[in-house]
Amino acid sequence: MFHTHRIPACGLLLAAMLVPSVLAAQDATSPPGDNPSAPTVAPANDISTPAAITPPTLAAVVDQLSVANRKKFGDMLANDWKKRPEWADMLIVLLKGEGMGPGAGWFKSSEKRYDWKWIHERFDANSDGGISPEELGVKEKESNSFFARLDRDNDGVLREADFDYFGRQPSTPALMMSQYLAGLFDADSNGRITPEELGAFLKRADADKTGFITSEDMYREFTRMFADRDGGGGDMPRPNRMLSMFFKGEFGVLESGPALGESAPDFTLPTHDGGNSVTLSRSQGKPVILIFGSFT
Amino acid sequence: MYAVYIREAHPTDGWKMESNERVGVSIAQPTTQDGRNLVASQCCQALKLTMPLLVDTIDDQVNRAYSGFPDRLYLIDRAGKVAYKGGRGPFGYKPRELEQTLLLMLIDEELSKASADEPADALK
Repeated sequence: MFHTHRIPACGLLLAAMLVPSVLAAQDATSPPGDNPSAPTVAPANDISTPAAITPPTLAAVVDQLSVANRKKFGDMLANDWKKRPEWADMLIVLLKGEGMGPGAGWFKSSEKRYDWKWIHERFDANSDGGISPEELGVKEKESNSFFARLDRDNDGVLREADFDYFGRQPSTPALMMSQYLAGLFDADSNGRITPEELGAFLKRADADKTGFITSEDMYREFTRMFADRDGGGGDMPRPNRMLSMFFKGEFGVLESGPALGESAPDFTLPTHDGGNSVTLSRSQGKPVILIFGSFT
Repeated sequence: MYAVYIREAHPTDGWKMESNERVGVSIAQPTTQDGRNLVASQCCQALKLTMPLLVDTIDDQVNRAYSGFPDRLYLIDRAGKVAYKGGRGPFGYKPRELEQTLLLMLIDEELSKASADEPADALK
Protein backbone atom coordinates (compact mmCIF):
# COMPACT_ATOMS: atom_id res chain seq x y z
CA MET A 1 0.00 0.00 0.00
CA PHE A 2 2.73 2.48 0.82
CA HIS A 3 6.33 2.55 -0.25
CA THR A 4 7.00 -0.15 2.30
CA HIS A 5 10.62 -0.40 1.29
CA ARG A 6 11.11 3.23 2.25
CA ILE A 7 9.46 3.26 5.66
CA PRO A 8 12.17 4.21 8.14
CA ALA A 9 12.93 1.84 10.98
CA CYS A 10 10.91 3.80 13.53
CA GLY A 11 7.87 3.35 11.32
CA LEU A 12 8.13 -0.41 11.00
CA LEU A 13 6.09 -1.04 14.13
CA LEU A 14 3.45 1.29 12.83
CA ALA A 15 3.51 -0.41 9.43
CA ALA A 16 3.13 -3.81 11.09
CA MET A 17 0.06 -2.50 12.88
CA LEU A 18 -1.28 -1.03 9.68
CA VAL A 19 -1.16 -3.99 7.35
CA PRO A 20 -3.80 -6.11 9.10
CA SER A 21 -6.02 -3.04 9.62
CA VAL A 22 -5.80 -2.09 5.98
CA LEU A 23 -6.66 -5.61 4.90
CA ALA A 24 -9.57 -5.66 7.33
CA ALA A 25 -10.76 -2.25 6.16
CA GLN A 26 -10.83 -3.37 2.56
CA ASP A 27 -13.14 -6.21 3.54
CA ALA A 28 -15.29 -4.17 5.89
CA THR A 29 -18.21 -2.04 4.84
CA SER A 30 -17.74 1.72 4.77
CA PRO A 31 -17.87 3.43 8.17
CA PRO A 32 -21.37 4.69 8.93
CA GLY A 33 -22.22 8.09 7.61
CA ASP A 34 -19.48 7.90 5.02
CA ASN A 35 -20.00 9.46 1.65
CA PRO A 36 -20.59 6.47 -0.62
CA SER A 37 -19.11 8.34 -3.56
CA ALA A 38 -15.86 9.27 -1.83
CA PRO A 39 -13.19 9.59 -4.48
CA THR A 40 -10.87 6.79 -5.36
CA VAL A 41 -7.35 8.01 -5.76
CA ALA A 42 -6.24 7.00 -9.21
CA PRO A 43 -3.08 4.90 -9.26
CA ALA A 44 -1.46 7.69 -11.27
CA ASN A 45 -1.29 9.72 -8.06
CA ASP A 46 1.11 7.28 -6.52
CA ILE A 47 2.73 5.07 -9.07
CA SER A 48 4.01 2.41 -6.72
CA THR A 49 0.61 1.81 -5.15
CA PRO A 50 -1.07 -1.36 -6.33
CA ALA A 51 -4.33 -0.67 -4.51
CA ALA A 52 -6.15 2.66 -4.43
CA ILE A 53 -5.83 4.64 -1.20
CA THR A 54 -9.25 5.99 -0.40
CA PRO A 55 -10.52 8.11 2.45
CA PRO A 56 -12.62 5.22 3.85
CA THR A 57 -9.55 2.99 3.91
CA LEU A 58 -7.54 5.55 5.82
CA ALA A 59 -10.48 6.31 8.09
CA ALA A 60 -10.49 2.71 9.29
CA VAL A 61 -6.75 2.83 9.89
CA VAL A 62 -6.79 6.16 11.72
CA ASP A 63 -9.61 4.95 13.93
CA GLN A 64 -7.33 2.37 15.47
CA LEU A 65 -4.41 4.65 16.15
CA SER A 66 -3.60 6.41 19.39
CA VAL A 67 -3.02 10.15 19.31
CA ALA A 68 0.74 9.73 19.36
CA ASN A 69 0.63 7.21 16.55
CA ARG A 70 -1.67 9.47 14.57
CA LYS A 71 1.01 12.11 14.54
CA LYS A 72 3.53 9.54 13.39
CA PHE A 73 1.14 8.34 10.75
CA GLY A 74 0.72 11.91 9.56
CA ASP A 75 4.47 12.25 9.27
CA MET A 76 4.66 8.98 7.40
CA LEU A 77 2.05 10.07 4.89
CA ALA A 78 3.79 13.40 4.44
CA ASN A 79 7.14 11.76 3.78
CA ASP A 80 6.18 8.68 1.80
CA TRP A 81 3.23 9.82 -0.24
CA LYS A 82 4.57 12.60 -2.39
CA LYS A 83 2.08 12.78 -5.22
CA ARG A 84 -0.99 12.91 -3.07
CA PRO A 85 -4.36 14.51 -3.66
CA GLU A 86 -5.52 17.64 -1.87
CA TRP A 87 -7.61 15.75 0.69
CA ALA A 88 -4.49 13.91 1.85
CA ASP A 89 -2.80 17.25 2.54
CA MET A 90 -5.69 18.13 4.82
CA LEU A 91 -5.68 14.74 6.52
CA ILE A 92 -2.00 15.14 7.36
CA VAL A 93 -2.63 18.51 9.02
CA LEU A 94 -5.43 17.02 11.10
CA LEU A 95 -3.41 13.95 12.08
CA LYS A 96 -0.47 16.05 13.19
CA GLY A 97 -2.76 18.36 15.15
CA GLU A 98 -1.44 21.41 13.35
CA GLY A 99 -3.36 24.65 13.43
CA MET A 100 -6.11 25.48 10.99
CA GLY A 101 -5.92 28.52 8.80
CA PRO A 102 -5.04 29.84 5.37
CA GLY A 103 -2.22 27.74 3.92
CA ALA A 104 -2.87 24.70 6.12
CA GLY A 105 -3.67 21.49 4.26
CA TRP A 106 -6.12 22.10 1.45
CA PHE A 107 -6.68 25.74 2.33
CA LYS A 108 -4.45 26.85 -0.49
CA SER A 109 -4.47 30.18 -2.26
CA SER A 110 -6.65 30.73 -5.29
CA GLU A 111 -5.57 29.84 -8.82
CA LYS A 112 -6.04 32.68 -11.24
CA ARG A 113 -5.12 33.44 -14.81
CA TYR A 114 -4.90 37.19 -14.23
CA ASP A 115 -2.74 38.37 -11.36
CA TRP A 116 -0.30 41.14 -10.45
CA LYS A 117 2.37 39.64 -12.66
CA TRP A 118 0.02 39.77 -15.63
CA ILE A 119 -0.97 43.39 -15.24
CA HIS A 120 2.53 44.48 -14.24
CA GLU A 121 4.07 43.03 -17.39
CA ARG A 122 1.63 44.85 -19.59
CA PHE A 123 1.08 48.20 -17.95
CA ASP A 124 3.96 49.18 -15.70
CA ALA A 125 5.61 51.28 -18.38
CA ASN A 126 8.31 52.76 -16.17
CA SER A 127 8.79 49.58 -14.15
CA ASP A 128 8.52 51.31 -10.82
CA GLY A 129 6.38 48.55 -9.29
CA GLY A 130 3.24 50.65 -9.51
CA ILE A 131 0.64 51.26 -12.17
CA SER A 132 -0.87 54.71 -12.29
CA PRO A 133 -4.21 55.51 -13.91
CA GLU A 134 -2.30 57.00 -16.84
CA GLU A 135 -0.28 53.82 -17.32
CA LEU A 136 -3.50 51.84 -17.36
CA GLY A 137 -4.90 54.23 -19.91
CA VAL A 138 -7.76 55.62 -17.86
CA LYS A 139 -8.57 59.13 -16.70
CA GLU A 140 -8.10 60.21 -13.08
CA LYS A 141 -9.77 57.53 -11.06
CA GLU A 142 -13.49 57.87 -10.69
CA SER A 143 -15.31 55.86 -8.09
CA ASN A 144 -16.55 52.51 -9.37
CA SER A 145 -14.22 52.72 -12.38
CA PHE A 146 -12.07 49.75 -13.32
CA PHE A 147 -9.12 51.41 -11.66
CA ALA A 148 -10.89 52.10 -8.38
CA ARG A 149 -12.08 48.52 -8.12
CA LEU A 150 -8.57 47.21 -8.76
CA ASP A 151 -6.94 49.66 -6.32
CA ARG A 152 -7.76 47.80 -3.15
CA ASP A 153 -5.89 50.01 -0.70
CA ASN A 154 -7.23 53.07 -2.45
CA ASP A 155 -3.88 54.84 -2.64
CA GLY A 156 -4.18 55.80 -6.30
CA VAL A 157 -1.63 53.30 -7.60
CA LEU A 158 -1.95 49.62 -8.44
CA ARG A 159 0.70 47.61 -6.65
CA GLU A 160 1.42 43.99 -5.88
CA ALA A 161 -0.25 44.30 -2.45
CA ASP A 162 -3.53 45.21 -4.15
CA PHE A 163 -3.60 41.70 -5.61
CA ASP A 164 -2.20 39.82 -2.63
CA TYR A 165 -4.87 37.89 -0.75
CA PHE A 166 -2.77 35.17 0.58
CA GLY A 167 0.87 36.04 1.02
CA ARG A 168 2.47 34.32 3.98
CA GLN A 169 4.70 37.37 3.92
CA PRO A 170 2.09 40.05 3.25
CA SER A 171 3.72 42.78 1.27
CA THR A 172 2.72 45.74 3.42
CA PRO A 173 2.12 46.22 7.16
CA ALA A 174 -1.45 47.33 6.49
CA LEU A 175 -2.18 44.16 4.53
CA MET A 176 -0.57 42.00 7.18
CA MET A 177 -2.50 43.57 10.03
CA SER A 178 -5.84 43.39 8.22
CA GLN A 179 -5.35 39.73 7.30
CA TYR A 180 -4.09 38.55 10.67
CA LEU A 181 -6.47 40.54 12.84
CA ALA A 182 -9.52 39.75 10.74
CA GLY A 183 -8.71 36.08 10.98
CA LEU A 184 -8.37 36.32 14.72
CA PHE A 185 -11.46 38.42 15.44
CA ASP A 186 -13.73 36.60 13.02
CA ALA A 187 -14.69 33.92 15.50
CA ASP A 188 -17.35 32.31 13.31
CA SER A 189 -15.32 32.72 10.11
CA ASN A 190 -18.18 34.38 8.29
CA GLY A 191 -16.01 37.20 7.01
CA ARG A 192 -17.77 39.82 9.12
CA ILE A 193 -16.43 41.43 12.26
CA THR A 194 -19.16 43.11 14.24
CA PRO A 195 -18.97 45.74 16.97
CA GLU A 196 -20.13 43.00 19.33
CA GLU A 197 -17.20 40.74 18.43
CA LEU A 198 -14.74 43.59 18.92
CA GLY A 199 -16.42 44.69 22.13
CA ALA A 200 -16.30 41.15 23.47
CA PHE A 201 -12.59 41.04 22.71
CA LEU A 202 -11.93 44.30 24.56
CA LYS A 203 -13.92 43.09 27.53
CA ARG A 204 -12.03 39.77 27.70
CA ALA A 205 -8.66 41.46 27.28
CA ASP A 206 -9.36 43.98 30.03
CA ALA A 207 -8.79 41.38 32.72
CA ASP A 208 -8.10 43.86 35.52
CA LYS A 209 -11.09 46.01 34.58
CA THR A 210 -9.22 49.23 34.12
CA GLY A 211 -11.46 50.44 31.32
CA PHE A 212 -8.63 50.26 28.77
CA ILE A 213 -6.29 47.60 27.41
CA THR A 214 -2.55 47.61 26.90
CA SER A 215 -0.34 45.67 24.51
CA GLU A 216 0.31 43.24 27.38
CA ASP A 217 -3.43 42.62 27.71
CA MET A 218 -3.59 41.97 23.97
CA TYR A 219 -0.65 39.59 24.09
CA ARG A 220 -2.24 37.56 26.86
CA GLU A 221 -5.67 37.48 25.24
CA PHE A 222 -4.32 36.64 21.77
CA THR A 223 -2.31 33.78 23.29
CA ARG A 224 -5.43 32.44 24.92
CA MET A 225 -7.45 32.80 21.70
CA PHE A 226 -4.89 30.89 19.62
CA ALA A 227 -4.69 28.08 22.15
CA ASP A 228 -8.46 27.96 22.41
CA ARG A 229 -8.92 27.82 18.65
CA ASP A 230 -6.42 25.02 18.10
CA GLY A 231 -7.56 23.04 21.15
CA GLY A 232 -11.22 23.04 20.25
CA GLY A 233 -12.76 26.02 21.99
CA GLY A 234 -16.21 27.38 21.24
CA ASP A 235 -17.50 26.16 17.93
CA MET A 236 -14.19 24.60 16.87
CA PRO A 237 -14.43 20.83 17.39
CA ARG A 238 -11.74 18.93 19.23
CA PRO A 239 -9.07 17.28 17.06
CA ASN A 240 -10.66 13.83 17.44
CA ARG A 241 -13.99 15.01 16.18
CA MET A 242 -12.34 17.00 13.38
CA LEU A 243 -10.92 13.78 11.97
CA SER A 244 -14.23 11.95 11.94
CA MET A 245 -15.90 15.01 10.44
CA PHE A 246 -13.18 15.16 7.83
CA PHE A 247 -13.81 11.59 6.68
CA LYS A 248 -17.54 12.22 6.54
CA GLY A 249 -16.92 15.22 4.32
CA GLU A 250 -18.42 17.60 6.92
CA PHE A 251 -15.24 19.61 7.07
CA GLY A 252 -14.88 20.08 3.36
CA VAL A 253 -15.72 18.13 0.25
CA LEU A 254 -12.99 15.60 -0.44
CA GLU A 255 -12.93 16.16 -4.21
CA SER A 256 -10.68 18.87 -5.63
CA GLY A 257 -12.71 20.25 -8.52
CA PRO A 258 -11.42 21.46 -11.91
CA ALA A 259 -8.01 23.12 -12.05
CA LEU A 260 -7.23 26.49 -13.59
CA GLY A 261 -7.54 26.28 -17.35
CA GLU A 262 -9.60 23.11 -17.35
CA SER A 263 -13.09 22.97 -18.77
CA ALA A 264 -15.73 23.77 -16.22
CA PRO A 265 -17.85 20.65 -15.72
CA ASP A 266 -21.24 21.10 -17.30
CA PHE A 267 -24.42 20.77 -15.28
CA THR A 268 -28.14 21.43 -15.37
CA LEU A 269 -29.84 22.53 -12.18
CA PRO A 270 -33.28 23.89 -11.36
CA THR A 271 -33.79 27.16 -9.51
CA HIS A 272 -34.95 27.12 -5.89
CA ASP A 273 -38.48 28.10 -6.82
CA GLY A 274 -38.78 25.27 -9.33
CA GLY A 275 -38.44 27.66 -12.24
CA ASN A 276 -36.53 27.05 -15.46
CA SER A 277 -33.44 24.92 -15.20
CA VAL A 278 -30.08 26.42 -16.06
CA THR A 279 -27.49 24.54 -18.10
CA LEU A 280 -23.99 25.92 -17.75
CA SER A 281 -22.84 25.19 -21.30
CA ARG A 282 -25.68 27.32 -22.68
CA SER A 283 -23.84 30.31 -21.24
CA GLN A 284 -20.81 29.70 -23.39
CA GLY A 285 -19.77 32.99 -24.95
CA LYS A 286 -20.33 34.90 -21.71
CA PRO A 287 -18.13 34.89 -18.64
CA VAL A 288 -19.85 33.02 -15.79
CA ILE A 289 -19.39 33.44 -12.05
CA LEU A 290 -20.31 30.53 -9.82
CA ILE A 291 -20.88 31.05 -6.11
CA PHE A 292 -21.06 27.91 -4.00
CA GLY A 293 -22.50 28.10 -0.51
CA SER A 294 -25.32 27.44 1.91
CA PHE A 295 -27.38 29.28 4.50
CA THR A 296 -25.47 27.97 7.47
CA MET B 1 -23.67 34.90 -12.31
CA TYR B 2 -25.17 31.92 -10.56
CA ALA B 3 -25.35 30.96 -6.92
CA VAL B 4 -25.26 27.20 -6.50
CA TYR B 5 -26.93 26.22 -3.26
CA ILE B 6 -25.18 23.18 -1.81
CA ARG B 7 -25.28 21.07 1.33
CA GLU B 8 -25.37 22.91 4.63
CA ALA B 9 -21.98 23.76 6.07
CA HIS B 10 -23.16 23.93 9.67
CA PRO B 11 -26.32 21.89 10.09
CA THR B 12 -27.66 21.27 13.57
CA ASP B 13 -26.96 17.56 13.09
CA GLY B 14 -23.39 18.16 12.02
CA TRP B 15 -20.89 20.91 12.83
CA LYS B 16 -23.34 23.13 14.60
CA MET B 17 -22.36 26.76 15.08
CA GLU B 18 -23.62 28.88 17.97
CA SER B 19 -23.34 31.96 15.81
CA ASN B 20 -26.09 30.57 13.58
CA GLU B 21 -28.29 29.67 16.54
CA ARG B 22 -27.97 33.17 17.94
CA VAL B 23 -29.52 34.70 14.83
CA GLY B 24 -32.22 32.08 14.61
CA VAL B 25 -30.68 29.98 11.82
CA SER B 26 -31.19 26.42 12.96
CA ILE B 27 -31.21 23.96 10.09
CA ALA B 28 -30.68 20.22 9.92
CA GLN B 29 -29.08 18.78 6.80
CA PRO B 30 -31.87 18.28 4.24
CA THR B 31 -32.31 14.67 3.15
CA THR B 32 -34.65 15.21 0.22
CA GLN B 33 -34.51 17.43 -2.84
CA ASP B 34 -37.69 19.22 -1.71
CA GLY B 35 -36.13 19.73 1.69
CA ARG B 36 -33.11 21.39 0.15
CA ASN B 37 -35.26 23.52 -2.17
CA LEU B 38 -37.15 24.74 0.88
CA VAL B 39 -34.01 25.69 2.78
CA ALA B 40 -32.65 27.42 -0.32
CA SER B 41 -35.86 29.45 -0.57
CA GLN B 42 -35.59 30.43 3.09
CA CYS B 43 -32.02 31.51 2.50
CA CYS B 44 -33.02 33.51 -0.57
CA GLN B 45 -35.75 35.31 1.32
CA ALA B 46 -33.75 35.94 4.46
CA LEU B 47 -30.77 37.34 2.55
CA LYS B 48 -32.93 39.10 -0.05
CA LEU B 49 -30.95 37.60 -2.92
CA THR B 50 -31.72 38.83 -6.40
CA MET B 51 -29.59 36.46 -8.47
CA PRO B 52 -30.81 33.01 -9.54
CA LEU B 53 -30.29 30.42 -6.84
CA LEU B 54 -29.61 27.03 -8.43
CA VAL B 55 -30.12 24.11 -6.08
CA ASP B 56 -27.68 21.20 -6.17
CA THR B 57 -28.98 17.64 -6.39
CA ILE B 58 -29.51 15.98 -3.03
CA ASP B 59 -26.56 13.68 -3.76
CA ASP B 60 -24.35 16.76 -4.15
CA GLN B 61 -23.35 16.17 -7.77
CA VAL B 62 -22.33 19.69 -8.71
CA ASN B 63 -20.77 20.37 -5.32
CA ARG B 64 -18.51 17.36 -5.77
CA ALA B 65 -17.70 18.19 -9.40
CA TYR B 66 -16.52 21.66 -8.32
CA SER B 67 -15.35 21.00 -4.76
CA GLY B 68 -17.72 23.74 -3.69
CA PHE B 69 -18.21 22.84 -0.02
CA PRO B 70 -18.32 24.78 2.32
CA ASP B 71 -18.05 27.71 -0.06
CA ARG B 72 -16.05 28.68 -3.11
CA LEU B 73 -15.96 31.10 -6.05
CA TYR B 74 -15.25 30.38 -9.70
CA LEU B 75 -14.88 32.53 -12.80
CA ILE B 76 -15.40 30.73 -16.09
CA ASP B 77 -14.33 32.40 -19.31
CA ARG B 78 -16.30 32.67 -22.54
CA ALA B 79 -14.77 29.43 -23.79
CA GLY B 80 -15.97 27.52 -20.73
CA LYS B 81 -12.54 27.26 -19.08
CA VAL B 82 -11.77 28.03 -15.45
CA ALA B 83 -10.13 31.46 -15.26
CA TYR B 84 -10.34 31.80 -11.47
CA LYS B 85 -10.67 29.10 -8.86
CA GLY B 86 -11.00 30.52 -5.39
CA GLY B 87 -9.35 28.89 -2.43
CA ARG B 88 -11.56 26.73 -0.22
CA GLY B 89 -13.85 28.56 2.11
CA PRO B 90 -14.01 30.07 4.59
CA PHE B 91 -10.40 31.24 4.34
CA GLY B 92 -10.22 31.36 0.57
CA TYR B 93 -13.56 33.02 -0.10
CA LYS B 94 -12.57 36.39 -1.59
CA PRO B 95 -15.21 38.12 -3.69
CA ARG B 96 -12.95 41.15 -4.23
CA GLU B 97 -10.30 38.91 -5.73
CA LEU B 98 -12.86 37.43 -8.12
CA GLU B 99 -13.95 40.94 -9.09
CA GLN B 100 -10.38 41.99 -9.83
CA THR B 101 -9.78 38.88 -11.92
CA LEU B 102 -12.93 39.55 -13.94
CA LEU B 103 -11.85 43.15 -14.57
CA LEU B 104 -8.40 42.03 -15.70
CA MET B 105 -10.03 39.47 -17.99
CA LEU B 106 -12.08 42.22 -19.60
CA ILE B 107 -8.95 44.35 -19.95
CA ASP B 108 -7.29 41.36 -21.63
CA GLU B 109 -10.16 41.17 -24.09
CA GLU B 110 -9.74 44.87 -24.87
CA LEU B 111 -6.03 44.32 -25.49
CA SER B 112 -6.71 41.39 -27.80
CA LYS B 113 -9.26 43.40 -29.72
CA ALA B 114 -6.84 46.31 -30.03
CA SER B 115 -4.03 44.16 -31.42
CA ALA B 116 -6.47 42.41 -33.76
CA ASP B 117 -7.36 45.84 -35.15
CA GLU B 118 -3.74 46.84 -35.74
CA PRO B 119 -3.02 44.86 -38.93
CA ALA B 120 -6.07 46.52 -40.51
CA ASP B 121 -4.70 49.91 -39.51
CA ALA B 122 -1.25 49.08 -40.83
CA LEU B 123 -2.69 48.31 -44.20
CA LYS B 124 -4.30 51.71 -44.51
